[in-house]
Amino acid sequence: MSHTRRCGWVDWVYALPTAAAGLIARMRARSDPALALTPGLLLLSGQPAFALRYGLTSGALGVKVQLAQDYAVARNLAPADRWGAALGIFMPASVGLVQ
Amino acid sequence: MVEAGARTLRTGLLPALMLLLAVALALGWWPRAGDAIRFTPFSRDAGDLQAQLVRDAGLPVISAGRVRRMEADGTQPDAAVQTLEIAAPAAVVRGGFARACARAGLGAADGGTLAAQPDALCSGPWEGGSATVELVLDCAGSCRSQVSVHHLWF
Repeated sequence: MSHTRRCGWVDWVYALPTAAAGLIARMRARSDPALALTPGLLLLSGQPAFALRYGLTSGALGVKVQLAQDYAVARNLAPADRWGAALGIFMPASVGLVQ
Repeated sequence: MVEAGARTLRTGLLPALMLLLAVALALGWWPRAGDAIRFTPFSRDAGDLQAQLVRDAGLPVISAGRVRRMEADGTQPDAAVQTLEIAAPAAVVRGGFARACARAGLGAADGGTLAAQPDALCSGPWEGGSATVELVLDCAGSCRSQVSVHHLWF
């Protein structure tokens, strides 16, 4: 564990960036291969949206367990709002893990 | 076949499911409103991809360290890391693993992946999720090569 000015406490065992980077990539692509829907099929407040699945995973003995939520994300978000939405998706899963 | 499958379910899968659910709940993964719990069998993990990449790279390995494994845990990916000493220059080592990535269906890491993981060599869909391979080289005569595989199910 280290304490940083920008990020607070960092637990290096859990500090792999892959999960957050994967979420950002899907937000950037505005699609989730796990929930491939026909573009234009999903609307959020009348606006085009895409579906995204995110949550917690554990796997052993040939079986994976996923605790996941499905999200509808507006496709026309400004970049700053898109990152805000990504953080809003990542935080509950991350906090849910350590509570 | 069906009987064998049912026996496997009774003797292997069901206890595994119960164990995993117990571990998940013990870790504090109490479902939130709207959470969906999914149990899915899998046959290959990050360790298997790691071994496949080293095999398919076809490089002259002098020595290979043990594969360190970290099972998927929460938001963290299933991970496998191995350090190898390879008797080849950096470009050859990198090319060998790039070809192995391509054989596994993984493409060159894009800009977004490299921004978060500068050592990423390749990434792409794999086994119902996505995989990212990192390669760190320290070359002087031979190349000390650290190969990391991260497999995400989200």
